Amino acid sequence: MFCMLAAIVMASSGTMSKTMAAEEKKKQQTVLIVNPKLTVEDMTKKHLADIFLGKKTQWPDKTPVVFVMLKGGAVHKQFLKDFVGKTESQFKTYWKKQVFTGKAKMPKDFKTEKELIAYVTKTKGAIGYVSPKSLSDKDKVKKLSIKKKK
Amino acid sequence: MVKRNKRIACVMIAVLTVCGFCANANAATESALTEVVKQQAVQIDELRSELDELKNLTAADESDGLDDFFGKIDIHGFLSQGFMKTSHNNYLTEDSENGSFQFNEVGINFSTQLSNKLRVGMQLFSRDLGDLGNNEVILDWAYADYRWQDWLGFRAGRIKMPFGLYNETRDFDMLRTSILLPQGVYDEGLRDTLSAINGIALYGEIPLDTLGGLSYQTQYGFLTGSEDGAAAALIEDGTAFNVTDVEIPRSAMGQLQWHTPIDGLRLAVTGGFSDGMTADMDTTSDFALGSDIPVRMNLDDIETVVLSGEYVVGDWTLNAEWFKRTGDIVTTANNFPVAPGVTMDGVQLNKSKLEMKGHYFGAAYRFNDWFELGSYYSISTPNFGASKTKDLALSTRFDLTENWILKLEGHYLDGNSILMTDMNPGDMEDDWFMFLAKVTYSF
Repeated sequence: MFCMLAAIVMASSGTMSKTMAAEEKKKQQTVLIVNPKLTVEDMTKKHLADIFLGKKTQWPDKTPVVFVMLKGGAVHKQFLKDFVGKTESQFKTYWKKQVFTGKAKMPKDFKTEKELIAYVTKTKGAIGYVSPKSLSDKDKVKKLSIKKKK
Repeated sequence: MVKRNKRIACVMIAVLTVCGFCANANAATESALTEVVKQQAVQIDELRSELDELKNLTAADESDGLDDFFGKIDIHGFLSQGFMKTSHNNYLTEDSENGSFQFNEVGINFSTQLSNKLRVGMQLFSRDLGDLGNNEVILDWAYADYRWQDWLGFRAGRIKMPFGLYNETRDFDMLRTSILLPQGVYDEGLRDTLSAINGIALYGEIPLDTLGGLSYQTQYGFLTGSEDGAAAALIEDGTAFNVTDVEIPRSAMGQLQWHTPIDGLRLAVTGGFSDGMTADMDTTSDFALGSDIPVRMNLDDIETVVLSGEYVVGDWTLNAEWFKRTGDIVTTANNFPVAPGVTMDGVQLNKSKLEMKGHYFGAAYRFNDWFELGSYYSISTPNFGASKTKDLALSTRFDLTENWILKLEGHYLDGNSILMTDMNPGDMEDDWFMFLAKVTYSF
């Protein structure tokens, strides 16, 4: 009986670790990038969500945050799910609520990752996300990491 | 521009240098020559990349220039046309029993960011709902917003009022699943009055680290009342009074939202206070003691509380809200006939308590990019002593394109206390159904 239980626990823990690994892999499909002049190196997931929901509008050095989005696609959806905690439709509705009550403007978005990278490279305070394959060593943007929870 | 020219010049000099190396290649040995050619190929590749990058940046600059030109003023708008039909009783329009198209909303807003911290904007709005609105164009909101810090911002002007989770966005059909918001909390009869406050506001976001975060809004000012508005219609309903003026000079509203550490769960409390509200009226010919007698209704100490919760998890949205409003009502008349040939001023006709309350709970599920299904169960007690009206709603939402939305909605209602007697001169049915359809275009 004990052996069976142990086997079940081991099997389920194996499945869990596989699931966690798959989850981690998914998150790696999105790379956070910021303007190279920003001094920030990492941030918490909550801080990042606050930025993309318009709740945090300044970097620690008081530079205004300019967050930019992709117009759609798998990377966009994955980013919203993993880092903002919303579906594409929920995110769109959230920003339309801000726009139609006069609180903010719609976030700037780009059709291609190349355009987004070019914009983040030249725009002070800019932050965005792309797939790892769209970045090359020649791109001047800085990669941002997410702080692990303590 | 100067910097870019300098970079282009550097690139050209480098290309010329590479060419110079090529011209002197005759003097080198064969192996050395191969090495030099390899190095030059690498250099040329680097230079080509740099030129490509410069091209990209130039293109991005040009595109930004155009964006800046057109993007200084943001313009968004919407247009909704609805249809409603009730099985019995006329609700919201005088002709809902026969089916009514007097159910539309149109709005357009303009806004611009004057600096990183200062924003201004306005929205024009028009609606028709039976006798209300009649597509008269009004200023829905118009304010300046100075966000000093994320935790403290200021607004001044006509500002949408936070009342529960959805009052600020109730005019915008495309921002929710249902056509009608649950009447237990969002009474259509008070929609015009509670739409926005004219005054000042403070707002901000306060992070709470592991405890999530708080959002707050506080507002103070006056509310817009109208002799043709929904509040006036409510006062006139079933009486021999004709409202000539409504004033709501002092109102305060505050809302605190807690974005809990559980992703997607937010809880909110809204509190409001209004004082000194007056409705000036004349008696109509139906009044037993004569017409054109000036009457004033005073509503004081009006207190409102709304408790709200919303949980968005995956494609599900679950929500529930509870609301209560209390106040004191005193109605007095001047030039009131107390005996043949004798009139008196300040005669108290009525003194009563206002108590409205209601609650609802609902759920919505997004199946895919174009279909959403929602339902809610709402209970309204529109005034002290009135019976309850229960409303079970089922809503479907079809996102036909990015800009077009179609909604179909059915209601089963038990009770008639939310109906107006003026619209239903005969008997009112207790059990009735309502069907609603609405098409919205937004951009």
